[in-house]
Amino acid sequence: MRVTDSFRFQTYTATLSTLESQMDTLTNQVASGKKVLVPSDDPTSYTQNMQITAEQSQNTQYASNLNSLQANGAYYQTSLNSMGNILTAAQQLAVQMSSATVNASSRTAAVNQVDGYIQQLVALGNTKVGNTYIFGGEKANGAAYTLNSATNSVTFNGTNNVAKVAVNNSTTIDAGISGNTVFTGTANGQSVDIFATLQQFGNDLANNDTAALQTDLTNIGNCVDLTSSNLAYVGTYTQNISSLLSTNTTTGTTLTQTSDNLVDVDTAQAYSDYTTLSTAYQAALYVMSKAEGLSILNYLPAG
Amino acid sequence: MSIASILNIAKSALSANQTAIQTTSHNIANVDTPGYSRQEAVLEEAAPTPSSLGLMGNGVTVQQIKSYLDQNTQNSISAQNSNLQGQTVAGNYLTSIQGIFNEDNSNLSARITQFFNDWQTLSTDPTSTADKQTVASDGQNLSSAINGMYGDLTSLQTQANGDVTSAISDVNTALTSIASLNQEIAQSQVGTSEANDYIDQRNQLLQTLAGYMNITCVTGSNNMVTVLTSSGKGLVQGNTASQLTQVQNQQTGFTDVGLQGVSGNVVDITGETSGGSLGALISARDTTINGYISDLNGLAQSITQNVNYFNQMGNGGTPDQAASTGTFFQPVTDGNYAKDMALSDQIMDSSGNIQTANIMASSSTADPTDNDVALAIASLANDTVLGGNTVSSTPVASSSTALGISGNLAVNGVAVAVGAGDSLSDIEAAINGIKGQTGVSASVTDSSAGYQLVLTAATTADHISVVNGDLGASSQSLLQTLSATSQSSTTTALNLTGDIELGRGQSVTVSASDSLQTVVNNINDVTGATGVTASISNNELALSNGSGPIAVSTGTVTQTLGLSGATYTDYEAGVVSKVGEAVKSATDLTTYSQNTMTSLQGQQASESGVSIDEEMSNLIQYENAYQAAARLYTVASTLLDTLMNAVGVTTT
Repeated sequence: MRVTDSFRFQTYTATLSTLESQMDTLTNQVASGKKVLVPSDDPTSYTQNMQITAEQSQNTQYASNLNSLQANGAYYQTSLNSMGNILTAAQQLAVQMSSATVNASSRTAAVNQVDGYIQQLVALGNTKVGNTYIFGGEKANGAAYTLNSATNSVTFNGTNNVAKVAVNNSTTIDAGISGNTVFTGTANGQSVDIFATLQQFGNDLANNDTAALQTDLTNIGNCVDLTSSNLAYVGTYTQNISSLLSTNTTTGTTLTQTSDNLVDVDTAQAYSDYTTLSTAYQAALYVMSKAEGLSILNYLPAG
Repeated sequence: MSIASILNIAKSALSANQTAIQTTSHNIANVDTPGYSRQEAVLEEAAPTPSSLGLMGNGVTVQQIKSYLDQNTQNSISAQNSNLQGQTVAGNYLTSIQGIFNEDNSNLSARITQFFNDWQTLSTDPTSTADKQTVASDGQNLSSAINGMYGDLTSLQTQANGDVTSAISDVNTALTSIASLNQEIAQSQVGTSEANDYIDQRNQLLQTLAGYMNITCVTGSNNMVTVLTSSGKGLVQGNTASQLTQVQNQQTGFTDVGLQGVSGNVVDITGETSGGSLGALISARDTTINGYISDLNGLAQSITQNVNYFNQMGNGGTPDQAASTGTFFQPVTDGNYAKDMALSDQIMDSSGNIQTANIMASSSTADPTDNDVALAIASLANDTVLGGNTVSSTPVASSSTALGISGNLAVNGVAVAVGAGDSLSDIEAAINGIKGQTGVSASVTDSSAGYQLVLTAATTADHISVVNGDLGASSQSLLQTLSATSQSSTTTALNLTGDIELGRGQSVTVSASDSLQTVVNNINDVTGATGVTASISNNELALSNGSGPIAVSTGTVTQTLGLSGATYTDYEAGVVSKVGEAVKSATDLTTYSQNTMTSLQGQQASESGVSIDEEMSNLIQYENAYQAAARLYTVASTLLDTLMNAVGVTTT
């Protein structure tokens, strides 16, 4: 095959250009730390990484949702513990006051104590975290309970429904517990209304109605049981959040690892590849310079 | 035989070698001229003259100036140039499109995710002014990103259109030059340097022309070449060139390609212009870029319509894509969603107009911290909402029996009510009833797999999006169907599919073959974790959870019907993957074409190229021959002197 001058130079240029382009790609990869810089480098890895990045972002959002639920969960637990303590105190008072040895004036005097319990429970029912009344259900921006101090009756301003919060792609969980679920419910097969029970207890003390006090004692017992069962529910609820959070963290770690494997550059490999290419480049230049010496013109007299 | 004939022979040798040296000089001068084929002065013995000894040699003559042109290889190079230029231009445009969709530049996927994450943050604190502001800002960012990408794509289209215009002008220059070279070649004598040079120039022009579009060349008896388009329309005939003209496309406003024949009539050849850079430019402008604009439009349309759908619900209105009341994004009426996507006027006025609560749930006023709307919009991020121009449902056994699912489907943001008694055909009719608003038509197909509901968009470029069109509690369609309907038997298949979420991370999957009793058993299997017990009362499902609340929801209507496409981010990733694959394939093809071209050029250079070393050797060879011929003069002169002296003539 005849090798002509023009073609020889074209080949040199093409060879150098190919090597330069490959070296440029490696330099960019090492500088950016990514082996996939544009979709066409590896369309599958690039788009998988896009999807993983989106999932990471969502996962972070779910973690933030769960953290705020967990913070609220602690408040529910504290509130229900305090409720339990108040109701246990009320139960003790009821035991004490239902005794035949207690006289009418002592019972009247105890009414104030019951009023105090109701006020404390209303305060607990109006527990506010940030701007949220945590027992208000879907009307959480205003006080959940209003106490009529004249009659000791308590009105629930919230809703039975509780807002839902997404905790992963397929699950939403209750963003807490409605006050109605906490202060009313069923225990030992009986319907329970904590505020009504205490209001009745206060009235019965004032009226010195010993027969009714026996019923109140049973009812307050049901209130204590309802609260215990709710406390157990909150325990499960917060435990569930903790386990969801732990799953969330694991998912996050897995996503990061997968993303790293897909697009991060192997620096050692890149360095080794670069060395190979630069050797090839130098060799190409050397051959070019040698080949250029091989011209008949070098052997012809100038004149 | 005479001394004079020696002088004649010397003269012919001087002349022939001078021509050979001139040809070599021409070769050396054109060592780097593109398209030049090396030439050679072909020497042959001059016609002999008769003598007493028979015919005697009479010196040398230049038979012809031969051009080392391999026309077949040259034709292959021209054809390959069509491929190479076409693929290079297509690759360049695709690379620009890739730059627009590259997530590192556009951040589109990140913006989509962020926008829906914001709705989730808002769902956890539905009255927060700051969270609403963030939703509005990121909604604006998402719109701007899509608008920007649309703008970049249309700029690219305009650029391609400009390139088409200049390509038309370049093609015309080449056509005119080829026609006039045809004329010159016909007039010049075959085998002369002049004719060879013209043929080289014409070959070079044909190669350039083929770089713009596929052409067919036929060489006539007088060496003129006839040039035709790939569909056989004449571009150059003899010494006459047709011209390409710019034809304004009334629909797109772009420049189409017309061919003005000798008669002056213009024929539109845009559709038949294939191959080469002109073909690639037309294809990029009219097909490729439009395809990506459609993809972007589908995404913008689906986000706009579905977010508006739920935001309008939150405003107490019936979702209506044509009305602007209660919308989050500005309604788009001309179909250019990617271009026009923007926050609605009322959200621009105040982000406080963002709706989070389901006002329809409680007749007149919503519970202030109800977050059904925010949650429904946030969950759009995970819905497989966006399909292609057709979407099919999961096959069922009959098209006319009740499916037992109820709720609303939002087809392109318009609600379609589905009742528990509705069959596939009923849903088909309901969707066709609102075709005027959605542009989506429905049909039921019958295949060996079963009956399927098939939704089809108005054009192949359109996308259909289907989501569960209900909010919060009302999405419990499956459960409602189970519990509210008395089943005829507790042991026959319910033909319902989906998940019943029982709270606390537990769910029960219901398959089509499950009976009521199976569902009850499955729910009771996880009672320990959920606290929820199931029983059958009067052939109806009953659930209880002691004193605790029951947190139950079900899979969505769309999952049950199986009318699904991709999530927004998966869809966007799909588009990026498509452009990435296209660039990769274009790059590979260009490299392949370039390699083929290099190989052909090597083959051509081997035959036609100029080698300096070779030419220098020839030069020395011809120079020596010239010197020797010049010496003949001296010899002849000496002979003549000797002769003259001998006969007494004194020469001076």
